[in-house]
Amino acid sequence: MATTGDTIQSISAYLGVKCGKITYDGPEKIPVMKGKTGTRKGFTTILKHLARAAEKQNLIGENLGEKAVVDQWLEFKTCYIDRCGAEKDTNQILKELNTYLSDKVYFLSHRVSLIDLALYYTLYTTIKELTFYDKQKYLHLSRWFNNMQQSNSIRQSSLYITFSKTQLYSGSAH
Amino acid sequence: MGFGDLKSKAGVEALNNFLADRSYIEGFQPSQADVVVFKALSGPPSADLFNALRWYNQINSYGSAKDSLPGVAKAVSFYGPAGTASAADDDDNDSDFGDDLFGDSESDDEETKARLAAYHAKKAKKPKVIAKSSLLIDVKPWDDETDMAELEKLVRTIEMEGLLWGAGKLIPVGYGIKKLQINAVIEDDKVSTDELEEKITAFEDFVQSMDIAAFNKI
Repeated sequence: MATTGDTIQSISAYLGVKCGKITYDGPEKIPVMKGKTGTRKGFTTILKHLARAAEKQNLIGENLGEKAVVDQWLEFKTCYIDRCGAEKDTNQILKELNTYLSDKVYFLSHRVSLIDLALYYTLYTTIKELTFYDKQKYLHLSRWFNNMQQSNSIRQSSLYITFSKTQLYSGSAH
Repeated sequence: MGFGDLKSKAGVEALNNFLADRSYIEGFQPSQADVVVFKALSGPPSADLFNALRWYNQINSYGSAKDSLPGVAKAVSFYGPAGTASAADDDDNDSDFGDDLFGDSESDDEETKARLAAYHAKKAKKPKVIAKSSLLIDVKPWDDETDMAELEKLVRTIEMEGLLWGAGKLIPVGYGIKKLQINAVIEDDKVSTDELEEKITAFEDFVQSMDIAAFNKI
Protein backbone atom coordinates (compact mmCIF):
# COMPACT_ATOMS: atom_id res chain seq x y z
CA MET A 1 0.00 0.00 0.00
CA ALA A 2 1.52 3.26 -1.05
CA THR A 3 1.73 5.84 1.70
CA THR A 4 -0.71 8.71 1.58
CA GLY A 5 2.16 11.14 0.97
CA ASP A 6 3.40 9.19 -2.05
CA THR A 7 -0.11 9.00 -3.45
CA ILE A 8 -0.52 12.77 -3.16
CA GLN A 9 2.90 13.37 -4.74
CA SER A 10 2.03 11.11 -7.70
CA ILE A 11 -1.31 12.81 -8.25
CA SER A 12 0.22 16.27 -8.11
CA ALA A 13 2.78 15.15 -10.67
CA TYR A 14 -0.05 13.91 -12.88
CA LEU A 15 -1.91 17.20 -12.51
CA GLY A 16 1.23 19.19 -13.13
CA VAL A 17 0.97 21.23 -9.94
CA LYS A 18 3.42 21.47 -7.09
CA CYS A 19 2.39 20.10 -3.75
CA GLY A 20 5.65 20.53 -1.87
CA LYS A 21 6.49 18.28 1.02
CA ILE A 22 3.75 16.33 2.73
CA THR A 23 4.06 16.04 6.47
CA TYR A 24 1.95 14.00 8.84
CA ASP A 25 0.13 15.27 11.86
CA GLY A 26 -0.90 13.48 15.01
CA PRO A 27 -1.15 9.77 15.78
CA GLU A 28 -3.69 9.35 12.96
CA LYS A 29 -1.03 10.56 10.53
CA ILE A 30 -3.25 13.06 8.80
CA PRO A 31 -1.37 14.41 5.80
CA VAL A 32 -0.63 18.13 5.88
CA MET A 33 0.40 20.24 2.90
CA LYS A 34 1.91 23.66 3.40
CA GLY A 35 1.64 25.91 0.38
CA LYS A 36 1.88 29.59 -0.45
CA THR A 37 -1.86 29.92 -0.23
CA GLY A 38 -2.13 28.34 3.18
CA THR A 39 -1.97 25.02 4.97
CA ARG A 40 -4.28 22.21 4.01
CA LYS A 41 -4.95 19.19 6.10
CA GLY A 42 -6.49 15.86 5.17
CA PHE A 43 -6.20 13.58 2.15
CA THR A 44 -9.48 14.60 0.51
CA THR A 45 -8.92 18.31 1.10
CA ILE A 46 -5.44 18.25 -0.36
CA LEU A 47 -6.48 16.30 -3.44
CA LYS A 48 -9.41 18.58 -4.17
CA HIS A 49 -7.22 21.61 -3.72
CA LEU A 50 -4.69 20.20 -6.19
CA ALA A 51 -7.39 19.41 -8.75
CA ARG A 52 -8.74 22.95 -8.45
CA ALA A 53 -5.25 24.41 -8.72
CA ALA A 54 -4.76 22.45 -11.94
CA GLU A 55 -8.15 23.69 -13.11
CA LYS A 56 -9.42 20.19 -13.61
CA GLN A 57 -12.75 20.59 -11.88
CA ASN A 58 -14.24 17.64 -13.70
CA LEU A 59 -11.96 15.33 -11.70
CA ILE A 60 -13.89 16.28 -8.57
CA GLY A 61 -17.25 15.77 -10.21
CA GLU A 62 -19.46 18.01 -12.27
CA ASN A 63 -22.61 18.01 -10.18
CA LEU A 64 -23.56 17.38 -6.58
CA GLY A 65 -24.18 13.69 -7.16
CA GLU A 66 -20.79 13.12 -8.69
CA LYS A 67 -19.07 15.16 -6.00
CA ALA A 68 -20.69 12.99 -3.37
CA VAL A 69 -19.38 9.84 -5.05
CA VAL A 70 -15.86 11.28 -5.13
CA ASP A 71 -16.09 12.23 -1.47
CA GLN A 72 -17.32 8.79 -0.53
CA TRP A 73 -14.54 6.95 -2.28
CA LEU A 74 -11.80 9.21 -0.98
CA GLU A 75 -13.19 8.65 2.49
CA PHE A 76 -13.29 4.92 1.82
CA LYS A 77 -9.62 5.10 0.92
CA THR A 78 -8.73 6.86 4.17
CA CYS A 79 -11.01 4.86 6.42
CA TYR A 80 -10.68 1.38 5.00
CA ILE A 81 -7.85 0.92 2.53
CA ASP A 82 -5.31 2.77 4.65
CA ARG A 83 -6.23 0.79 7.69
CA CYS A 84 -6.01 -2.73 6.44
CA GLY A 85 -3.06 -4.48 7.93
CA ALA A 86 -3.65 -8.16 7.44
CA GLU A 87 -3.86 -9.88 4.11
CA LYS A 88 -7.41 -10.87 4.90
CA ASP A 89 -8.46 -7.23 5.12
CA THR A 90 -6.76 -6.41 1.84
CA ASN A 91 -8.51 -9.29 0.11
CA GLN A 92 -11.84 -8.05 1.39
CA ILE A 93 -11.14 -4.57 -0.01
CA LEU A 94 -10.05 -5.96 -3.37
CA LYS A 95 -13.18 -8.07 -3.51
CA GLU A 96 -15.35 -5.07 -2.78
CA LEU A 97 -13.66 -2.92 -5.42
CA ASN A 98 -13.91 -5.77 -7.89
CA THR A 99 -17.65 -6.07 -7.36
CA TYR A 100 -18.12 -2.33 -7.69
CA LEU A 101 -16.21 -2.24 -10.96
CA SER A 102 -18.05 -5.18 -12.53
CA ASP A 103 -20.43 -2.85 -14.35
CA LYS A 104 -18.18 0.17 -14.65
CA VAL A 105 -15.16 1.18 -16.66
CA TYR A 106 -14.18 3.95 -14.26
CA PHE A 107 -15.25 4.59 -10.69
CA LEU A 108 -17.18 7.71 -11.55
CA SER A 109 -19.40 7.95 -14.55
CA HIS A 110 -17.54 7.35 -17.80
CA ARG A 111 -14.26 9.15 -17.36
CA VAL A 112 -11.16 9.25 -15.20
CA SER A 113 -11.77 11.00 -11.91
CA LEU A 114 -9.88 11.76 -8.73
CA ILE A 115 -11.06 8.40 -7.35
CA ASP A 116 -9.38 6.43 -10.12
CA LEU A 117 -6.15 8.33 -9.61
CA ALA A 118 -6.13 8.01 -5.83
CA LEU A 119 -6.93 4.29 -5.90
CA TYR A 120 -4.50 3.56 -8.73
CA TYR A 121 -1.56 4.98 -6.80
CA THR A 122 -2.71 3.54 -3.50
CA LEU A 123 -3.21 0.04 -4.83
CA TYR A 124 -0.20 -0.11 -7.15
CA THR A 125 2.09 -2.04 -4.81
CA THR A 126 -0.71 -4.32 -3.68
CA ILE A 127 -1.69 -5.27 -7.20
CA LYS A 128 1.94 -5.66 -8.19
CA GLU A 129 2.32 -8.39 -5.59
CA LEU A 130 -0.77 -10.33 -6.62
CA THR A 131 -0.32 -13.64 -8.37
CA PHE A 132 -1.75 -14.16 -11.82
CA TYR A 133 -4.37 -16.33 -10.23
CA ASP A 134 -5.49 -13.53 -7.91
CA LYS A 135 -5.36 -10.97 -10.67
CA GLN A 136 -7.79 -13.11 -12.61
CA LYS A 137 -9.89 -13.62 -9.52
CA TYR A 138 -10.30 -9.84 -9.32
CA LEU A 139 -10.83 -9.64 -13.06
CA HIS A 140 -12.84 -6.42 -13.07
CA LEU A 141 -10.37 -4.67 -10.83
CA SER A 142 -7.52 -5.90 -13.03
CA ARG A 143 -9.24 -4.66 -16.15
CA TRP A 144 -9.69 -1.23 -14.60
CA PHE A 145 -6.11 -1.15 -13.39
CA ASN A 146 -4.73 -2.31 -16.72
CA ASN A 147 -6.71 0.40 -18.45
CA MET A 148 -5.43 3.05 -16.04
CA GLN A 149 -1.77 2.12 -16.38
CA GLN A 150 -1.81 2.54 -20.16
CA SER A 151 -1.66 6.29 -19.82
CA ASN A 152 1.96 7.41 -19.47
CA SER A 153 0.99 10.46 -17.49
CA ILE A 154 -0.77 8.29 -14.94
CA ARG A 155 1.74 5.47 -14.79
CA GLN A 156 4.69 7.88 -14.61
CA SER A 157 7.93 6.09 -13.71
CA SER A 158 6.41 2.93 -12.25
CA LEU A 159 6.62 -0.36 -14.10
CA TYR A 160 3.92 -1.98 -16.15
CA ILE A 161 2.07 -4.71 -14.36
CA THR A 162 1.35 -7.66 -16.57
CA PHE A 163 -2.15 -9.02 -16.71
CA SER A 164 -3.03 -12.16 -18.52
CA LYS A 165 -6.34 -13.91 -18.69
CA THR A 166 -5.97 -17.64 -19.02
CA GLN A 167 -8.68 -20.22 -19.40
CA LEU A 168 -6.82 -22.54 -17.07
CA TYR A 169 -8.13 -20.72 -14.02
CA SER A 170 -11.63 -20.14 -15.25
CA GLY A 171 -12.99 -23.45 -13.98
CA SER A 172 -12.09 -22.93 -10.37
CA ALA A 173 -12.12 -19.16 -10.05
CA HIS A 174 -15.53 -18.47 -11.49
CA MET B 1 -16.09 -13.14 -38.28
CA GLY B 2 -14.82 -11.73 -35.04
CA PHE B 3 -17.87 -12.13 -32.86
CA GLY B 4 -20.13 -13.88 -35.30
CA ASP B 5 -23.57 -12.37 -35.69
CA LEU B 6 -23.78 -9.61 -33.10
CA LYS B 7 -27.55 -9.57 -33.39
CA SER B 8 -27.72 -13.15 -32.15
CA LYS B 9 -27.26 -14.21 -28.54
CA ALA B 10 -24.15 -16.25 -29.34
CA GLY B 11 -22.53 -13.20 -30.89
CA VAL B 12 -23.21 -11.03 -27.86
CA GLU B 13 -21.92 -13.80 -25.62
CA ALA B 14 -18.67 -13.86 -27.59
CA LEU B 15 -18.49 -10.10 -27.16
CA ASN B 16 -19.14 -10.46 -23.43
CA ASN B 17 -16.36 -12.99 -23.12
CA PHE B 18 -13.99 -10.85 -25.11
CA LEU B 19 -14.64 -7.82 -22.94
CA ALA B 20 -14.14 -9.61 -19.62
CA ASP B 21 -10.61 -8.30 -19.26
CA ARG B 22 -10.86 -5.37 -21.63
CA SER B 23 -12.46 -1.99 -21.27
CA TYR B 24 -12.53 -1.27 -24.99
CA ILE B 25 -12.55 -3.34 -28.18
CA GLU B 26 -9.17 -2.10 -29.29
CA GLY B 27 -6.41 -0.73 -27.12
CA PHE B 28 -7.16 1.21 -23.98
CA GLN B 29 -9.25 4.11 -25.08
CA PRO B 30 -12.50 4.46 -26.97
CA SER B 31 -11.99 4.37 -30.72
CA GLN B 32 -13.88 3.81 -33.94
CA ALA B 33 -13.52 0.09 -33.28
CA ASP B 34 -15.93 0.48 -30.39
CA VAL B 35 -18.30 2.55 -32.48
CA VAL B 36 -18.41 -0.05 -35.26
CA VAL B 37 -19.18 -2.90 -32.88
CA PHE B 38 -21.61 -0.68 -30.95
CA LYS B 39 -23.55 0.04 -34.10
CA ALA B 40 -23.60 -3.63 -35.07
CA LEU B 41 -25.53 -4.46 -31.91
CA SER B 42 -29.29 -4.41 -32.07
CA GLY B 43 -29.60 -2.88 -28.59
CA PRO B 44 -28.18 -3.03 -25.08
CA PRO B 45 -26.97 -6.53 -24.11
CA SER B 46 -29.00 -8.30 -21.45
CA ALA B 47 -28.02 -7.83 -17.83
CA ASP B 48 -26.48 -11.27 -17.41
CA LEU B 49 -23.88 -10.39 -20.03
CA PHE B 50 -22.56 -7.68 -17.74
CA ASN B 51 -19.17 -7.23 -19.40
CA ALA B 52 -20.83 -6.41 -22.68
CA LEU B 53 -23.41 -4.24 -20.95
CA ARG B 54 -20.75 -2.28 -19.08
CA TRP B 55 -18.92 -1.60 -22.31
CA TYR B 56 -22.19 -0.69 -24.05
CA ASN B 57 -22.99 1.89 -21.36
CA GLN B 58 -19.50 3.33 -21.54
CA ILE B 59 -19.63 3.76 -25.33
CA ASN B 60 -23.20 5.00 -25.15
CA SER B 61 -22.06 7.77 -22.81
CA TYR B 62 -20.12 9.43 -25.62
CA GLY B 63 -23.45 10.20 -27.28
CA SER B 64 -23.11 12.11 -30.50
CA ALA B 65 -19.38 12.62 -29.91
CA LYS B 66 -18.87 8.99 -30.97
CA ASP B 67 -18.03 9.92 -34.53
CA SER B 68 -15.15 12.11 -33.44
CA LEU B 69 -13.43 9.29 -31.55
CA PRO B 70 -9.97 8.45 -32.87
CA GLY B 71 -9.12 5.51 -35.11
CA VAL B 72 -10.26 4.31 -38.49
CA ALA B 73 -13.43 2.31 -38.75
CA LYS B 74 -13.06 -1.14 -40.30
CA ALA B 75 -15.59 -3.84 -41.05
CA VAL B 76 -17.13 -5.26 -37.91
CA SER B 77 -15.75 -8.72 -38.69
CA PHE B 78 -12.26 -7.37 -38.27
CA TYR B 79 -12.64 -6.91 -34.53
CA GLY B 80 -12.90 -9.45 -31.80
CA PRO B 81 -11.00 -12.55 -30.74
CA ALA B 82 -7.82 -12.98 -32.76
CA GLY B 83 -7.57 -15.63 -35.41
CA THR B 84 -11.29 -15.78 -35.99
CA ALA B 85 -11.14 -12.93 -38.43
CA SER B 86 -12.06 -13.35 -42.07
CA ALA B 87 -10.40 -15.99 -44.23
CA ALA B 88 -8.21 -13.46 -46.00
CA ASP B 89 -6.53 -12.65 -42.72
CA ASP B 90 -6.06 -16.28 -41.85
CA ASP B 91 -3.83 -16.86 -44.89
CA ASP B 92 -1.36 -14.48 -43.43
CA ASN B 93 -0.67 -16.77 -40.54
CA ASP B 94 3.04 -16.13 -40.11
CA SER B 95 2.69 -12.50 -39.20
CA ASP B 96 -0.26 -13.25 -36.96
CA PHE B 97 1.82 -15.64 -34.99
CA GLY B 98 4.15 -13.02 -33.63
CA ASP B 99 1.34 -10.70 -32.66
CA ASP B 100 -0.74 -13.08 -30.72
CA LEU B 101 1.04 -16.13 -29.42
CA PHE B 102 -1.74 -17.03 -27.05
CA GLY B 103 -4.73 -16.24 -29.17
CA ASP B 104 -7.17 -18.98 -29.93
CA SER B 105 -7.36 -19.75 -33.56
CA GLU B 106 -10.55 -21.18 -34.87
CA SER B 107 -9.22 -24.65 -35.55
CA ASP B 108 -7.68 -24.92 -32.08
CA ASP B 109 -10.72 -23.62 -30.32
CA GLU B 110 -12.63 -26.89 -30.03
CA GLU B 111 -9.51 -28.76 -29.12
CA THR B 112 -8.60 -26.22 -26.44
CA LYS B 113 -12.06 -26.44 -24.97
CA ALA B 114 -11.93 -30.23 -24.87
CA ARG B 115 -8.52 -30.16 -23.23
CA LEU B 116 -9.59 -27.61 -20.69
CA ALA B 117 -12.62 -29.68 -19.82
CA ALA B 118 -10.42 -32.74 -19.42
CA TYR B 119 -7.99 -30.77 -17.29
CA HIS B 120 -10.68 -29.47 -14.97
CA ALA B 121 -12.26 -32.91 -14.71
CA LYS B 122 -8.91 -34.41 -13.80
CA LYS B 123 -8.27 -31.71 -11.24
CA ALA B 124 -11.65 -32.22 -9.63
CA LYS B 125 -11.11 -35.98 -9.36
CA LYS B 126 -7.74 -35.71 -7.71
CA PRO B 127 -8.24 -36.40 -4.02
CA LYS B 128 -7.24 -33.71 -1.57
CA VAL B 129 -4.07 -34.67 0.26
CA ILE B 130 -4.53 -34.50 4.01
CA ALA B 131 -1.43 -33.03 5.55
CA LYS B 132 -0.39 -34.95 8.64
CA SER B 133 2.45 -34.55 11.05
CA SER B 134 4.09 -36.86 13.48
CA LEU B 135 4.93 -35.33 16.84
CA LEU B 136 7.21 -36.48 19.60
CA ILE B 137 6.13 -34.76 22.78
CA ASP B 138 8.13 -34.55 26.01
CA VAL B 139 6.01 -34.10 29.11
CA LYS B 140 7.92 -33.24 32.27
CA PRO B 141 6.50 -33.88 35.75
CA TRP B 142 7.06 -31.68 38.82
CA ASP B 143 9.23 -34.11 40.79
CA ASP B 144 10.07 -37.75 41.32
CA GLU B 145 6.88 -38.33 43.28
CA THR B 146 4.56 -37.62 40.36
CA ASP B 147 2.63 -40.68 39.32
CA MET B 148 3.84 -41.16 35.76
CA ALA B 149 1.29 -43.87 34.93
CA GLU B 150 -1.53 -41.52 35.94
CA LEU B 151 0.09 -38.71 33.93
CA GLU B 152 0.22 -40.83 30.81
CA LYS B 153 -3.38 -41.89 31.32
CA LEU B 154 -4.45 -38.25 31.65
CA VAL B 155 -2.57 -37.19 28.52
CA ARG B 156 -4.22 -39.97 26.59
CA THR B 157 -7.65 -38.77 27.68
CA ILE B 158 -7.21 -35.71 25.46
CA GLU B 159 -9.37 -36.33 22.46
CA MET B 160 -9.45 -34.10 19.43
CA GLU B 161 -10.58 -34.67 15.89
CA GLY B 162 -7.55 -35.60 13.82
CA LEU B 163 -5.40 -36.49 16.81
CA LEU B 164 -4.05 -39.99 17.32
CA TRP B 165 -1.91 -41.01 20.28
CA GLY B 166 0.99 -43.39 19.69
CA ALA B 167 3.40 -45.25 21.91
CA GLY B 168 4.69 -43.58 25.05
CA LYS B 169 7.72 -44.36 27.17
CA LEU B 170 9.37 -43.05 30.31
CA ILE B 171 12.84 -41.65 30.01
CA PRO B 172 14.96 -40.92 33.07
CA VAL B 173 16.26 -37.38 33.24
CA GLY B 174 18.19 -37.72 36.51
CA TYR B 175 17.63 -37.71 40.31
CA GLY B 176 15.02 -40.39 39.81
CA ILE B 177 12.84 -38.08 37.79
CA LYS B 178 11.41 -39.48 34.60
CA LYS B 179 9.77 -37.69 31.74
CA LEU B 180 7.09 -39.04 29.49
CA GLN B 181 7.92 -39.19 25.83
CA ILE B 182 4.84 -39.82 23.74
CA ASN B 183 4.15 -40.07 20.05
CA ALA B 184 1.19 -38.43 18.36
CA VAL B 185 -0.03 -38.09 14.81
CA ILE B 186 -2.04 -34.99 13.98
CA GLU B 187 -3.85 -33.69 10.93
CA ASP B 188 -2.38 -30.25 10.34
CA ASP B 189 -5.67 -28.61 9.41
CA LYS B 190 -7.60 -29.86 12.40
CA VAL B 191 -5.17 -29.82 15.31
CA SER B 192 -2.96 -26.94 16.28
CA THR B 193 0.04 -27.72 18.44
CA ASP B 194 -0.67 -24.67 20.57
CA GLU B 195 -4.06 -26.02 21.45
CA LEU B 196 -2.56 -29.41 22.22
CA GLU B 197 0.06 -27.82 24.46
CA GLU B 198 -2.63 -25.90 26.29
CA LYS B 199 -4.61 -29.06 26.94
CA ILE B 200 -1.62 -31.01 28.20
CA THR B 201 -0.40 -28.28 30.51
CA ALA B 202 -3.94 -27.99 31.82
CA PHE B 203 -3.20 -31.04 34.01
CA GLU B 204 -1.20 -28.75 36.23
CA ASP B 205 -1.07 -31.11 39.18
CA PHE B 206 1.06 -33.49 37.16
CA VAL B 207 2.62 -31.57 34.29
CA GLN B 208 5.32 -29.02 34.84
CA SER B 209 6.00 -28.34 31.22
CA MET B 210 5.85 -29.88 27.80
CA ASP B 211 8.04 -29.66 24.73
CA ILE B 212 7.70 -30.80 21.20
CA ALA B 213 10.86 -32.83 20.76
CA ALA B 214 10.35 -33.65 17.11
CA PHE B 215 7.92 -32.46 14.46
CA ASN B 216 7.89 -34.33 11.18
CA LYS B 217 5.61 -33.89 8.24
CA ILE B 218 4.36 -37.20 6.94
